[in-house]
Amino acid sequence: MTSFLLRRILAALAIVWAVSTLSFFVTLKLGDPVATILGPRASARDRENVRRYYGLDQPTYVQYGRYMARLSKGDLGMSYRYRRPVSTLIAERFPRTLLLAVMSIAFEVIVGVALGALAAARKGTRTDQTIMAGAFVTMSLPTFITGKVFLLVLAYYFGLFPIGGYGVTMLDHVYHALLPALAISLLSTAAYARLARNELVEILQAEYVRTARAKGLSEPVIVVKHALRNAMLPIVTSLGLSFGALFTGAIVTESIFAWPGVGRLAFDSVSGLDVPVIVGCVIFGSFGIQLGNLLSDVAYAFLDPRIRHG
Amino acid sequence: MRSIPRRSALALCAAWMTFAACKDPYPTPRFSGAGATSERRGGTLRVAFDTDLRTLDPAQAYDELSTAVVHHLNDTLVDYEPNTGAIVPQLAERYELSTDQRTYTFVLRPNLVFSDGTPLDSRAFVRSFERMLNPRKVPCPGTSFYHLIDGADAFAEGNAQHITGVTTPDARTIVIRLSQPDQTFLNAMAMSFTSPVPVDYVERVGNDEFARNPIGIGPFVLERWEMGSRVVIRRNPRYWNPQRPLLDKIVYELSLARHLQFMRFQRADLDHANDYALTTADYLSLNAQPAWAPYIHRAAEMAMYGVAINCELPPFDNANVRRAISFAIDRDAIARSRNYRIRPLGGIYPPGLPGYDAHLPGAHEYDPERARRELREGGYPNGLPGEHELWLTEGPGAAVYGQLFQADLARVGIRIRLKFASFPVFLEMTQRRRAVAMSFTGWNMDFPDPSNFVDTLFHSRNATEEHAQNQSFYRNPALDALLDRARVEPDRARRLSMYQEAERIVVRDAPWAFMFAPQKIEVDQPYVHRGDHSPVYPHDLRNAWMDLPLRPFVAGARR
Amino acid sequence: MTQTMAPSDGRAWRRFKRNKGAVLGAITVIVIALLALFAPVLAPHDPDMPFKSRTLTGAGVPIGPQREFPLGADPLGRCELSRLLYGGRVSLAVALAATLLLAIVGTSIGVVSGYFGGWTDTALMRVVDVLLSFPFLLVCMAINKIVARPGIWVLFLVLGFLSWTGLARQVRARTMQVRSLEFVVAARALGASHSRIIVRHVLPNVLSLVIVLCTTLVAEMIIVESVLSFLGVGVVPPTSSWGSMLQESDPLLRTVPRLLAVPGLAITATVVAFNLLGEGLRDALDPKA
Repeated sequence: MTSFLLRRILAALAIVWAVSTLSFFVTLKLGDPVATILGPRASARDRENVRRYYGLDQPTYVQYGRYMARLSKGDLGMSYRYRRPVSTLIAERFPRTLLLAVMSIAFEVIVGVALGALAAARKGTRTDQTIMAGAFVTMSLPTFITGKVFLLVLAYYFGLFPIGGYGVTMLDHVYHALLPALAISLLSTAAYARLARNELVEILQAEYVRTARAKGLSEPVIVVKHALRNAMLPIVTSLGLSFGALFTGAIVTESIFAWPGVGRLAFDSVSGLDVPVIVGCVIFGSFGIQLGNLLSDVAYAFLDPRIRHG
Repeated sequence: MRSIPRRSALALCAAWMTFAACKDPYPTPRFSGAGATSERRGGTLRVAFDTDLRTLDPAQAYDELSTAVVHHLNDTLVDYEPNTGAIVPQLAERYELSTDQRTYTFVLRPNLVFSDGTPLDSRAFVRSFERMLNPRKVPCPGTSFYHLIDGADAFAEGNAQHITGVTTPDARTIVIRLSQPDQTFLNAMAMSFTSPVPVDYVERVGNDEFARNPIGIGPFVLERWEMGSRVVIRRNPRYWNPQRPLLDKIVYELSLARHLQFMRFQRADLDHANDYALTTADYLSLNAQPAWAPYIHRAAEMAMYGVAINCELPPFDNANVRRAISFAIDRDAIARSRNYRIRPLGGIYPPGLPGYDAHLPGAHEYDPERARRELREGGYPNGLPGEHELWLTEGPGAAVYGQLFQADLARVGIRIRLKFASFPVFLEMTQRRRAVAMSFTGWNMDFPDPSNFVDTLFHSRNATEEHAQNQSFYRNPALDALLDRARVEPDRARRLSMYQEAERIVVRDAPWAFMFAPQKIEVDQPYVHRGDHSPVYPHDLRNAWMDLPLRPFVAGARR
Repeated sequence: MTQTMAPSDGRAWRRFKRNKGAVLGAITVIVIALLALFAPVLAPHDPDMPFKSRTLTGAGVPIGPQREFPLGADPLGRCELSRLLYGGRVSLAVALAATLLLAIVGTSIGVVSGYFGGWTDTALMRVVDVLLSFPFLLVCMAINKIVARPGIWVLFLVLGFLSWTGLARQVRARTMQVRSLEFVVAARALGASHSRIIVRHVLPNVLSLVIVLCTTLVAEMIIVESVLSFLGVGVVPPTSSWGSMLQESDPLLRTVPRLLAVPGLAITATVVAFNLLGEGLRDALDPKA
């Protein structure tokens, strides 16, 4: 297990390195910080100073070397627009993105699995059909349409939620996160419902479940106690993946709901050509995805006794 | 799963009908004020912006939001009188101009202190002023406004310890000598770049920390800045003017998308809605509801938008072609698509700017016949060959104007391709010689004077190789001479008529296709009184007050 | 005769026909494709032409549906129906072309990786790992920023080259299965060349999987295209796509909800149709996919 973990972590680091190198060279061409920092009226002298400050007067290989040296210390460089360290900018916004991610994942898993279990228990009935049809349509709805409609109908017309933003106190943050979390999770909720149902249907036909039935256990007990536990394996593994994907934030949802997280930061820096922040967010995102993969692998190895690496 | 299609269709229909059946929950304002007739102290005013705050260092702030907040945290030697726009003393108790028009003497108010208690005397002011002009200390985007000060250039290049033209004969007096007279120098001194900052504090904590935790001398101080989300400023108890400010606090919500702002405003979660918060839908619903009418403020905005045409790139070096472009633009249709919130404009100066000429001879207007004639006379009887690029900044706003422009020009036989670029790239390319044929752009004044428009945009001095302010690269020695004379002309009436003459020259040669001047349309809650506000700084709340406590809204009640 | 693991065509077709959802999906897909294909014939107007005072009221509101403009006008006073048809062309073309590209790349890499194994496999799968660990949307946005002339071509290349990884992994797994099947091992023993085995045995066996996966990927590409256009990094105006129509409807959302509904329903209907078709094909062709 330890050597498996170690190999896995090394591989993840190698991938993050590859991603950072690629991002560095791809974004080299992207804009000059001068216009971003100084605006339209600066003199040639001021421009020269800024270029030197960011080391852009150096040859590419020197820039790359410095970049990698800093990166190994967790330093992602300085933002052009804010003139502050990118790692600080991300660190300030990450707790907000994390809150949103945790809330939406909780919603996805709880509601998704519950609906899937219900559909599996009532396989072939009207309930099953309705849930599956709903899941099917939901999976086809782009998040930005549902997000907009939610905002307009639930927040504005019905007045049930705040109209975007982040709030002041912790409880307020959670309240503000409800609607965007719902919008993000809708798609995956549907996916989890389908996954859970199909897993459960298969398991419910398995030998040991039939034995349990024969012993006279009631159907809900069978579904929850026996089948669900076994069906959790694929769900837990895909959970790790969705967690990783949410690291860079839900760019679309964060922009619609004005949620000041990493996704919004990434979106703004793409529009403002704030290259160090763009690259920082890409690296941070790939780090998150690797972490998610790792968690999911570990969970898999842990939950499934048949797979024991190394 | 046969029933999936039917059920999906039903669900979609049901969802759609719920959506369509929704009625606006807040058609009228929710609250009125208590009915006070004179200024009151107290209250927290909430406003929102759709951008993020970048800096609170007055030497670095130049974008709309940073300037708006910085303006409340700082004061300058002189400021604008709200109603007349005249320049009046602020931190200076008085100022004088020598008879040769080259030496300004400012006398500071007594006992000025920063919000942390540090006193401000003339030497502290000059230290701060020199920090702003020193590129090794801070990258200030506005240094070019001050290069006429004696010794400013030598200082900036590092060849002098101090600016020779700035002296402090005593603890309250600051003397600034210029190398030549400049009628706009006081305007430059009213810009927030010159706001004094406590240099010792800045040097102790560093620029980056100072930009986040500034100390100023203005009516408000920073209370809290939640990154990317909210800025709260509160009354500065040490402010030199005991009458101001009236508000206890101002809350700026940051990065709040426009479509959210007005919904919040209607729900009374915001107290003031900026003009850009009003989407078309918001504007229309607001206009349809008479209860809101008394609280809508319209004002001409000192800005001008249009298409800069590169006079160096053929075929646009041909004035006929440039005029053809401008006369092909249906300015009324453009204004219509923006609900007439913008006004068609045929010249350089927006209405309300000193020097604006309502009967400008030769003003550009929609005349497709004339456009075709100009093309014929320019040697293109069958329309302009090829496809030409129009550069725009990204975002839905410019896209609207670009597409209407494109369609109008297609009708007279000029084919346009739209090229969108992010703002930094847009500046980089459109301000470089012989790089971009046409760009949709505009000019927002730094101060209310025609020179700020015509000098900046059309003087050949500003048609540099790179980073040119003169984006059409228009060069006309006669115009240059006229502008140089106007800049030093002390008589205001003569000066303005010279600038009007300059406008006529430019309009005739059409280096720009002038399009429109925006109008600022803002709404306040009935309990908010904006008071007199600065003609230059947008979002000025220094004199604003709130009529508290709130009561449920009654239509027709006195605001 | 080619030996495959997939059911024979006749049985698959019968199974497909019995699945009403799949048939409906197929019909919808065909209808939408025809509408898009014949947009120049069907569209009543030039999609880029603003009709000014004919289509915008004095207050600047686009007019509603009427005979000349069956779906009303867009915020700039252009014919909404014409823009919808031409926009469908763009959205579908981008999605289909990107899917074709990713199918070719993904299948080749998956087959090569799964068939040859060893260091080829390791190297290719590391490439997949790296690509998979880029935050997709962010990278799409950034690339659209870098290129000098963004537009449909860039969109299709970016989507195609960034999203083949999932497909490649599944194809690889299937190829490894096929490689160990008896008849493949036998063919190998009889001295058949690698290329012959891949063409005769492996490809036919992964084809059904690729078809099924690609059908749902088209749906995904339509959504991604609309998201990118919605975020303002997709097609370049005046070209319309369903995503850019949604973006343009934004400022009028509360007054003219039709402008959200028209492209919104078009996207939803198309995506649902492709997903239904995909499910149907899966049940019919490749139940294991």
